[in-house]
Amino acid sequence: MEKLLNINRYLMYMLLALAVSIPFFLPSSCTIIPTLTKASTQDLYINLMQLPEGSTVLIESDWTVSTRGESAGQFEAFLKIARFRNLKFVLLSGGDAQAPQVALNSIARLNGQFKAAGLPELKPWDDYVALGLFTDPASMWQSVTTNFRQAFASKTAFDPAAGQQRSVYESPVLKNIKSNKDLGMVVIVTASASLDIMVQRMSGKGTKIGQMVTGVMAPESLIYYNSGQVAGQSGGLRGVVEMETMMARGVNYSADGKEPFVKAPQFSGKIPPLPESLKPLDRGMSYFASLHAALVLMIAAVVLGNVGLLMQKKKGGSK
Amino acid sequence: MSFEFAKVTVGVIATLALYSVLYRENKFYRLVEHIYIGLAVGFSIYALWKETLEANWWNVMVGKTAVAATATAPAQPATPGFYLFALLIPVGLLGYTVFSKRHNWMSRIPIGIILGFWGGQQLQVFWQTYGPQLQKAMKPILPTTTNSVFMPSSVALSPADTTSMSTATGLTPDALTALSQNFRMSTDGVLEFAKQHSVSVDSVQGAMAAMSAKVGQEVYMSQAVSNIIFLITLLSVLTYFLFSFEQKGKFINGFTKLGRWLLMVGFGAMFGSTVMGRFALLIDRMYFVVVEFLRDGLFKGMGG
Amino acid sequence: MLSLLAQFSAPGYSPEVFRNVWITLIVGFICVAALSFAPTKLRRPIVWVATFLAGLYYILIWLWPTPVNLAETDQPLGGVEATGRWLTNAQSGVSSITQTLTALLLGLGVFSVLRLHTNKLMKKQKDWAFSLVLLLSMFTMIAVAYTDYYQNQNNPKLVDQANWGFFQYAKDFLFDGMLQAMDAAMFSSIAFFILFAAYRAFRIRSVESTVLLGTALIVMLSLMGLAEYYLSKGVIDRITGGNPGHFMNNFALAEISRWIETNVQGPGIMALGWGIGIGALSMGLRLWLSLEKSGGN
Repeated sequence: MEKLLNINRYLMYMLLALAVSIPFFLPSSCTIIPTLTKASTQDLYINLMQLPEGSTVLIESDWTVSTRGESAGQFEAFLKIARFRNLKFVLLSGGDAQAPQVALNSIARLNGQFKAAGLPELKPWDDYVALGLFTDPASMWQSVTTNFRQAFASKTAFDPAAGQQRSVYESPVLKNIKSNKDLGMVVIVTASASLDIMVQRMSGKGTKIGQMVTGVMAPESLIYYNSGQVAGQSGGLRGVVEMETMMARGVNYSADGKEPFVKAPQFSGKIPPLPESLKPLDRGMSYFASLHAALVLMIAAVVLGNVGLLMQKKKGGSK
Repeated sequence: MSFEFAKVTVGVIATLALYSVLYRENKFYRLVEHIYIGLAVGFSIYALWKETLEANWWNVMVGKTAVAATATAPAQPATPGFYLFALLIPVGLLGYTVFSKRHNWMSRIPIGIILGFWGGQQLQVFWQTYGPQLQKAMKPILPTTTNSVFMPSSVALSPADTTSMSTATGLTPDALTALSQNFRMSTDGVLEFAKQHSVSVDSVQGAMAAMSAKVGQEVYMSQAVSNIIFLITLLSVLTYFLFSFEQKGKFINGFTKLGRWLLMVGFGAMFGSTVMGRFALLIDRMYFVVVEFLRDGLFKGMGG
Repeated sequence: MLSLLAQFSAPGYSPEVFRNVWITLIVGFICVAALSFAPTKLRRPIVWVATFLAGLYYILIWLWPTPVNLAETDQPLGGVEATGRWLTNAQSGVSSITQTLTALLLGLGVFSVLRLHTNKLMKKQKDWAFSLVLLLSMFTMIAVAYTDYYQNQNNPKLVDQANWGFFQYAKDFLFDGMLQAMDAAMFSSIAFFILFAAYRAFRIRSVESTVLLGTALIVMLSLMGLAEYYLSKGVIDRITGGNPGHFMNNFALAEISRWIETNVQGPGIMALGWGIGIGALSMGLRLWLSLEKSGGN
């Protein structure tokens, strides 16, 4: 009983490190885990996949490698959808000085993956423009809703065809966007309260919002989804796995006439899966088996602690 | 050793150094910790210029010269320089008087401007944030039907419903009547139904969706109970945090106690989600060490 | 805003604009010097005016009627429309001002670190060697990152890794190889502490802790896709015979956790949020109107 109440901390640390590492050595067939998808994640995915080809999405990327385990998967899922649907996007950050560079590195990594699969890369200027960091995101979002054509007036980007820096409004990404209502969607990938700043200023202004948040933020940000302020949410690593599941299996879709794996009753259409070349099951699914192992260890640790306590109480009572 | 592998190797050494604090504080940890802070501060200085000040301040202040048209690009017009933006430097630097005992009151000017901008937005922000939430919290708490506790699988169709659904889906009135007895079927059931009535799967699914929508218009007992729990949670937690009056009396005390318990349900759920978040970060790091460094780097290199 | 400043502009990158920038800077610093002699009585009103005017802009842009379908070339009809247009046009300038001021104020943290470690190094206090390492890494990062940036500005081909030179490799090594790895390691180490803290402290000692523990366990189980899938699809489907209309479907793990999320966790957090929102609103008004007692004293 005493042993149950006093397990060595280093032993627990070691067990945790082992528990999350061992699944990496399992064959990939064992680590593809069937996962049910929530309505909030379905709505995010459906909204993104329903955007007309060539639409412009404004994406705020506010994560760094400190939350790579969750946010990288979210951001990469968006990039794959953008590639598949030929979406154009405006990339900006409003929370962390390192975030713009991390997002660009992520695009470069995925471009390598696209290139290897024989797919076109995401090209700066033509497919996306990077606007950098806004130290005061509140005033930036106010500008986006008040006067879109002036909000990024001081920003330029390199046009490779022209061989010079030009206003971002002249890029194929933004040239047809007159106001925030012309944007296909606004998406935020964040590990901080920058989500609140954005939703507080953008919701109800005629642009759909999608949020991709960390597990820590998921419960509080779900309020925005439940009250209709945002169109969909992907929360934490589980959210990444759900996105990847829909990318791999489609929505309300079944190739062989059997029951679709992902059923979205709120959506009357069908979305087929993304092609294998886009590697729909990627980072999220690679980490998911490890998350199972870690959570089992956590539950076991809590149960052991409580069993020890109960036994101690019983012993104390019998004395 | 390739550049990529060298990068990963240094990253792994840094990771292990920072993890060494799990055992106890040591010099190796402190060394890497100081390198980390130095690099982070250095990058912030660079990023503040590159990402923010250059575009938002310098380019606005000094403007740009015109660029002539080339074979591939149109001419770029000149933009004037608004030199009054130079005033932002002395105003911003006033913030640094916080380190002076005599002049630290001046640091409140730039901070006041930023807080003023923030404060001025709060009225608008408040309604935009909480208005829709307030509206969505107004849920019906009385059931509109007592026919069923949960949402049923059958629906009584009026002749008008049958006609409109028949027109929309192409199903015969007989098929619709049969479907209305159990419209929540598995895919196998839908396939069988479509085969039996010689209709397409899509039209059966369309009719099922229409029946679901019709049934969904009612508030059933189970939904009403859920909505009451929603409302009780909302009000009791609000009461628990209401300090404007003394919380006296059996009812109020009981209600706030209930609020505390219900809050614990919420916190328990938040804890689960937070644990997932924190574990995901560790999993990523272990993936970096075990897969990117050991499996795909060190052992692959050795094998090759 | 920028159109209002038109009379204070000069051709871009011209000697005139640089001369005027210098003059403005000198005038600005003279004003700051003069301000430093402000009598104590005037200090609070000065801060009050600056704060109030800043806040007033956002109050006006919220409340003032916005001109509808007013093209850039159209003449506004009357003062209301003209003011509405001015407020709208001023937004990007106001945004530039706040971005700049916030960036300069963020530099305060950097300055503070620099001051602390320079002092430590100069006075050879305990662990001064670590301060030296910190300052060296900081200046190396600044030098490498800026050089990379300016080389990139002059040679856009450097975006492609095939054309990288020393500074591009050095920046990638410092940023991606070191800083990011350290950042990730620092944050991920919390997982170990959470596990051990949960084991030691997550005990059934009261009604509250039991409720908390029970919900946490349900949610953790539901986060495991495999457990949720088999407890929902496997067990429940066996009971219901795969009938989606069966009422037992409401007791699948997935449904229970969604129910908790929607009907208990959601309104609980919502109530907390409303409290915080009212607090932020009253604090915002107090700050805007300088009603906070310490402001300007």
